[in-house]
Amino acid sequence: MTLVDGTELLGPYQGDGRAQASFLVRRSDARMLEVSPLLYLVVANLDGVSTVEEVAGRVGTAYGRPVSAASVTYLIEHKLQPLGIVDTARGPAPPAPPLLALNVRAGVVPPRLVRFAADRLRWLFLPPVVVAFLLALAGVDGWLLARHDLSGAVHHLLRQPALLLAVVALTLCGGLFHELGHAAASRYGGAQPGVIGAGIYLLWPVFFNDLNDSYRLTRRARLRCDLGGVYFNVVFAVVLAAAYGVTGAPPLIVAIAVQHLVIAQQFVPFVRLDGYYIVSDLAGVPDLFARIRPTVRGLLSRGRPVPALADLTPRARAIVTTWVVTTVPMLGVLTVLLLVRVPALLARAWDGLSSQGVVTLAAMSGGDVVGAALGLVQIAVLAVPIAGLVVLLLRVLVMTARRHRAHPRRLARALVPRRAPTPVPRLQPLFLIASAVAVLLWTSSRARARRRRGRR
Amino acid sequence: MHGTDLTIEELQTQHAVELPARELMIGVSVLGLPLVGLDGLTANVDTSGPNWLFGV
Repeated sequence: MTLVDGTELLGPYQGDGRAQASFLVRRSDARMLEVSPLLYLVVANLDGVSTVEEVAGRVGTAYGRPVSAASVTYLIEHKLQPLGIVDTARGPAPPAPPLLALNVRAGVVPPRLVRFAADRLRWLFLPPVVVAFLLALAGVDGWLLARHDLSGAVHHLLRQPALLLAVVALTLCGGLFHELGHAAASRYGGAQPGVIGAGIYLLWPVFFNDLNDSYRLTRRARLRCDLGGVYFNVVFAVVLAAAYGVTGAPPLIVAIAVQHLVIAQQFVPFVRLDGYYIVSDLAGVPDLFARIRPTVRGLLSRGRPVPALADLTPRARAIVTTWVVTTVPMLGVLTVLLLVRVPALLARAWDGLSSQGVVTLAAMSGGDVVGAALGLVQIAVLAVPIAGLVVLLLRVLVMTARRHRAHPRRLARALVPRRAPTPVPRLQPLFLIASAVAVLLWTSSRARARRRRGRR
Repeated sequence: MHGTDLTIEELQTQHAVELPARELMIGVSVLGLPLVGLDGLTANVDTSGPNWLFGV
């Protein structure tokens, strides 16, 4: 029995929120696995030469307790083989990606180039430099608030739409620089950042940086990675302010304001933006979303211990519980609001795309390059969230279908009660589907009525 | 070495999980903000952009 080529043992997971220590193993596809000390010992002793009995003997000695060959076989078959790190005839079943994860994606900057740039920007994380930039931003903000009129700059921009393209371009550059900040923080801590790419997260167009390797860092270094992005937004804003000091170009002031909005948005902890990873690393719990169900169950069971949370330290449990009791209602409200607004959003987006298409074609035929470029940006801005919404809804449908294919009897029981029916729980799925359809029909009729009124 | 072999319950509670991908993202939908102003510029330009997301 041997490990799959490329499997790497990385030692303890530092700053772990579990009461019992965990260890990290990197799989050949660069994904990280978190395993118990006993499993780590088993993995460390699978050399492809020793028999299971010999492995069991060595594991028992290191563990300080007898471990039989049967126990080692059980651990390999039930714990390690499903994770795909032990060489077997059949590979592991690929896990379905979680719903709230980034899925539509494409690489933009290859890992080698990311590391090259990150190496050259590591010095920005030297503590005196960090303090200097934070103070500089405070100075810039005070200067802008005291001496400059932001709304005046915006109006100036509106009179010259070509300058809007400059703000859009600067914001895109700021987004890429933000990701480079994560990468540079990762290199500063001693990990290898991966690709920087673009994708759609839920409904939003995003840039992302693959920081899987930073799991190996200390909690402090992981937090530096989490904050590295917004810190680079700070650096970017200070550089823009310096450029404004030299040129006096109004788009730069608007771009600085946008950087502040970006920073504020990044601290939202309810979806996988930087704020989420900050909470996750403070708790030492890598997957907060996996803890939602047990936490809610624990809260509803009035203090009875829930196994999935009992393994956490009191500090981690407090952070996770606080995150869950704020995140669940927030995501619930947002989901309902989104559902209610879908027809109106689609109608507005369609109107917008139609009018933008006309404007852009007219600009193109008239040789108006700036107008055409702005039209194309608007079309992209309108189309991407719609594409994200469609992908999200399709994924929900596919996941639901997969789940019911895996448990067909559960679906059959839910939809067709055969004997001694208890209507309330068994009709739950039908009730939910009917409610969703009713809400959609109601809101779409309201949206149609509003549009008719608008046309009159 | 003292003690007995691990029980099946002890073996079952050994945790082994695949950690979620650590992909730190930045939303660029804030790009739509400067486009809001186009509403005043031309009646043909739709201003919803991604800003309705903020409304959501």
